[in-house]
Amino acid sequence: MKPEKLFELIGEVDEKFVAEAAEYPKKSRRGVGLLMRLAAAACLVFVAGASVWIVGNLRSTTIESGAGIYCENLLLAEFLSQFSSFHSFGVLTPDGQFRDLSGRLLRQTPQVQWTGRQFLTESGDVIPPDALFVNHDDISVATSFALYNIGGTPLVQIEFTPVATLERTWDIRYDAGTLFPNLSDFEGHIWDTQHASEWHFDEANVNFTPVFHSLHNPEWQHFKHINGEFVRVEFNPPDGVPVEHFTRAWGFDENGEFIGGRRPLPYLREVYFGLASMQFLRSNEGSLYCSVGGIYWRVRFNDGIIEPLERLPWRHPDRLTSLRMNETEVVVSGLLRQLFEPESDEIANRLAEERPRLENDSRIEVSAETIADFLVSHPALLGFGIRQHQGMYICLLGTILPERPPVVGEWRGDELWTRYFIFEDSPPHANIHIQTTSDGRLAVAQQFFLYEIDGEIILQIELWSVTGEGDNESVFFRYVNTAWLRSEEIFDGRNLASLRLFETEEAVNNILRSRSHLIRESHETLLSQMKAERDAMQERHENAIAGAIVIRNGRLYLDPVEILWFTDEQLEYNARRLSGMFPADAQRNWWDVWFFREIENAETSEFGIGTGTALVYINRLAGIWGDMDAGQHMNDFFEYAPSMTVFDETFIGTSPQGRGIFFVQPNGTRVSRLTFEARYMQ
Amino acid sequence: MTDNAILDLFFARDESAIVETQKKYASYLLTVAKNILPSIQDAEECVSDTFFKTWQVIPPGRPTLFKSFLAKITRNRALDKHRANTAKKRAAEPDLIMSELAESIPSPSDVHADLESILTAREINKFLGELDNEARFIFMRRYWYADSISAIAKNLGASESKIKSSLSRTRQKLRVALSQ
Repeated sequence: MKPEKLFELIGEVDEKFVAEAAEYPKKSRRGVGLLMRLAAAACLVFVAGASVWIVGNLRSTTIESGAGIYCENLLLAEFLSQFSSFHSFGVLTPDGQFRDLSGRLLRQTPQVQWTGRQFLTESGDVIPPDALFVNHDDISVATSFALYNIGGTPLVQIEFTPVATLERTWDIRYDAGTLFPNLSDFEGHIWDTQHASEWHFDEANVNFTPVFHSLHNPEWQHFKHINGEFVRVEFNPPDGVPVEHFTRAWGFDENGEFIGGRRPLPYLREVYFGLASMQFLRSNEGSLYCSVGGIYWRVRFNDGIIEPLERLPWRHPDRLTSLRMNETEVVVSGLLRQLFEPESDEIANRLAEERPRLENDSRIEVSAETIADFLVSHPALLGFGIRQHQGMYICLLGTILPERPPVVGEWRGDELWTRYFIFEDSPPHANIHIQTTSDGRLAVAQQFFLYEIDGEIILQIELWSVTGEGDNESVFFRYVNTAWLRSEEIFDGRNLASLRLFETEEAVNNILRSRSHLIRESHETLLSQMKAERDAMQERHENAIAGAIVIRNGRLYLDPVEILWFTDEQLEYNARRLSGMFPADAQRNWWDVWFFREIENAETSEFGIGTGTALVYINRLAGIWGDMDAGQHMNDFFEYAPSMTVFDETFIGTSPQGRGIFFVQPNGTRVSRLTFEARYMQ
Repeated sequence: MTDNAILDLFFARDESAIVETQKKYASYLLTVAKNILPSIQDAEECVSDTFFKTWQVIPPGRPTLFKSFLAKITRNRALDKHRANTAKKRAAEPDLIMSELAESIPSPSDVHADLESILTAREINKFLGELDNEARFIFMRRYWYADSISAIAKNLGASESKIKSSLSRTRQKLRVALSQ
């Protein structure tokens, strides 16, 4: 028996013992309680400049002795719940008046309750966090609080900052990558991270970015820094619930059902992740926007076709986001139509008025021509492939090449698990050697896209950093006289409306499908498996990340979603998606979602893929049962799941940091997923 | 509000049951979770999950010791989370507790694996019932609530060495009890 097991068993002892030890003997606690009551009654309030200081005597467990400075949200919540004076937390105007958090002048001390998660009015209404930023110049708002223990005296500081100051510092905060002002003027200030996390701002993308942890405000909030102005765009998914960051929310839905813990909504995830590099945004008035290649368009969806309505003067010349149009619109267009359906007759009428003009324009179309066809007709592209350090050479279509093709560019050795090259049998102009991003990060070509703009064939190769750090980049090539010429400003001056995209995935799938001999799970089978897994997890009180995996068309599809709180309907959706009831494009989209999550994983470590669970699914799908619990360590996996030797000497594992999934060999070297597939999935 | 009144709200499917539970026990449950999890966010999540689970199981269940009932759920949640974190190579403070408890574990041959859990749970209950109050209290604070030794010492007004000594003796007794 392991100590962990013993610890777990101790957790199951008779509840009378638990209750008996729930509190320390009253004798030792009484003094503290008395101090607390005394402190509450004798709170001293100092108004010094823009700050309100409350000197109290906090419970010893609230402030770590000797820590000097300590501030945590829950401690704050605990504090606020105990000190009634803090219920006046609100807005202090320069003339000493109190206003509530929305700026309304109050006749008496406002009764705003901080529950640890949200502010509530006296009537119990939730005060959205953005109400902290009241739009009045003459008042201050409480922007932060901090708990201290200085010289043995516990202190609570509430920082009141004039709104005007906030506005002035807006750009500064943007530059600093945080949405909140830097109020660390005094030594040792610790920012209230609860608020900071609510206002997540993705500086790197400089795009409309969903604000995570929007627990207080059930809307996705997007921000954009345009020409020095900070623009906020509302995004209202129908359920009003962000996906990943619902984890600590709880409440009741419109039907009175309790909602707690994790409850991801797959279709929103699909939208968010599936369209991550082609962002769709909806403004308050209902207009739909998307950014393509760093250019923003007002668009609309029409039967799965993205129709550009207007090019907007928003542009970030230093960043070309990847253009990914082929795999997304079919699968998500229906969802997007739900999400972005014009809400008002006015908008619908306006779009209807625009229709005649639009119909005369060339629209973005998804061609029936496949990448395979294209490659056949453009042999230069056949050289685009990969080299593995095991000595095999595989082109992007999965064909194992008989011998080493001539490679252009340098090879730095075997420190990487795979490298991508354009081979020499391409025309001279196609001497493409992709290995670094513009800022020097080592990258691999993850996927490529073909499209036609203004009659010219464009090849886009999307680079992914091998470490998963930083942003993806794309390099672009124009096809000119059977040669590929690298081009930088591929979209400048182009008529995006003329963009015609070649379907790529179907051909790839066709080829792989012909070689696939792996199990193809039915929708019903997958659904029952997922339900069983969910129920088992709930039964075991597990809160681990579960995964779903499917092997299809010779490819391995893993969904590191958290199925624990999935409803039957959500499971149904995922099972249907997994089991291929969506068209081929959807499968490609699924793949991309997976990989994006992997990258996300590397950046945040928050989406740690439950290796064990993934392997459970692998085993199930392969007809081999491994008794694995989610989240178990890889060592446990090797111990409990020897059946994975079905994959020869290659195992699936997580990186030492728990980031992402890759395939490892006993000697510790990693192999790429593509290699894995090429070797074991054909 | 009394526990019974809160439970009545649960049985009436009154949403305020959650609010009242949170008011009364959130801080306590958070302490339970925080002792196991280094991340305050994780701990918050465990408490939130506890409310959710409670809403799910009451009714039909009606715990007699509501506070302990909640704490158990929180502890289980926290332990699961800790396992997941550890699996991702993000070990946390409870590893210290685990290393201490290793002293109390008899050799694998002593206990048949299939019956191990059931027997051990019974034996631990019996063992705890035979401990004197102080030793049991210290043991529970350390190995159920995962309090730090310094916190136990401080709250009991005792020295850390005394707490360590008590825990050491109790662990050895537990080992003997589990080996029998």
